[in-house]
Amino acid sequence: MSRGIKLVLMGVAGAALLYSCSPGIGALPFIWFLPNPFFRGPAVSTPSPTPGESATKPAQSQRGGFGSTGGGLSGTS
Amino acid sequence: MRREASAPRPGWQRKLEELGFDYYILEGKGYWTEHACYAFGADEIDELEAATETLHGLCLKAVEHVVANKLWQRMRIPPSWGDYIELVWRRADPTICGRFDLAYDGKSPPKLLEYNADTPTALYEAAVVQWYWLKDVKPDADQFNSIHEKLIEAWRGILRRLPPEGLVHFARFDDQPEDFATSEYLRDTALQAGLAGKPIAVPQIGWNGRRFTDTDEMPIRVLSKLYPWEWMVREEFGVHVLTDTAAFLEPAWKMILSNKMLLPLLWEGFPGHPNLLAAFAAEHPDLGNAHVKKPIFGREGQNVTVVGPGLFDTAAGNYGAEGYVWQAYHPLPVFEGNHAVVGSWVIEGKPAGIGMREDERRITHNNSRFVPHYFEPGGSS
Repeated sequence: MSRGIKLVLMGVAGAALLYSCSPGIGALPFIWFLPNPFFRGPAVSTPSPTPGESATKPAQSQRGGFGSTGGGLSGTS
Repeated sequence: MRREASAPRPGWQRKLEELGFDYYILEGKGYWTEHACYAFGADEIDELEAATETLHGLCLKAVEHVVANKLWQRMRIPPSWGDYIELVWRRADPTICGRFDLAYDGKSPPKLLEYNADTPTALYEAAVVQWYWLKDVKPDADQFNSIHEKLIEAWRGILRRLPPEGLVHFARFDDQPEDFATSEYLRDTALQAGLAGKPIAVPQIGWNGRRFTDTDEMPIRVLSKLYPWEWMVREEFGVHVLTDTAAFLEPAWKMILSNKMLLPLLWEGFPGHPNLLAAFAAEHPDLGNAHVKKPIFGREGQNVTVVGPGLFDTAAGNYGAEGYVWQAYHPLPVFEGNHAVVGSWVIEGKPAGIGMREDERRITHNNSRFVPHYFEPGGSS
């Protein structure tokens, strides 16, 4: 198999992995591992999940973890 | 510098509402007034601009001093946040805006009262509303105001550091009219710069175990927030910020500048500087015979007390649990019974314009009137 064909197949497999997880773009698993966009270290693109991490969509988010201080104030100035 | 009477534009309320500025009355009192305006000489504007640039430079040196010497306890910042703040500072995570409050009378150098570096408001009225007033009322005059253009340029800088989708979330409390308008205006300027912007209410910010998320379970990668860092660090989700999976505007190093402990720190580092007032972490003889006591983490003038011979004013509030700083009292100029304060905007680290606020009281608070300004190009005071 030529190197070019291998690369194409690897690309197809990668895409299949990404899109098999969920139908919605919001569920694209790679997006959950992107670093802070201002991070300028070596992993500037799409880092792989670390061992033990699942590449599937995370659980439903908890909410309300911000916004409890102030007692009606918003803290702006 | 002077205050001039000015005839309101016919249908001024409608004109304001057409701009989306529908909070010109707050809690039953006029927040915007165009029955008056402030007039400056070009040399005075130059002086304000130079002082703003100088002060921001001093503030950046103060941040470096705090970070390098790990003065977290002095700044009442949890030491567990030190490494993260140092990370975003060393990485030069970008800033969009901040606002100095300055005492200035046109006669002596502008004096720093405080730096609203984290969650400044009164942005839209300074950038847009007073600009339209100028075009209608003083079309031949000028205004110290390039806030709008500089905001768009600042967002373009953000865009260059983001992946292609360029999405920024904008968090605020939707039931606070001024906050909502400020956040929406920031979002509008981001859109004009080519970014995508998605609003979210502060309590709706989610955490899915790996990332902050919006209500569609999309990850939040960049969050422009109108919610103070000193509250975030102490709330349930604060610890997740330390994962550094999202960027914040303003960045966490602004926690050092929006902190009133900055004032004694600056005075310690630059004693006698013409744009600073003596300030200390306790009562001190160098304060002179009058001083202002301010909560280390305080907003909108709350819990501020002014004390001096024949002088006393105090504002109630919910701040002060972390302690106070003491700053030498420097009177605001008074025009027809109105104490005037200059809000000098810093966009992406550069002076960008001013917004004038005034109040019958010495302590400026969240409902103090916003008054438009102008200056005559080439004219001196």
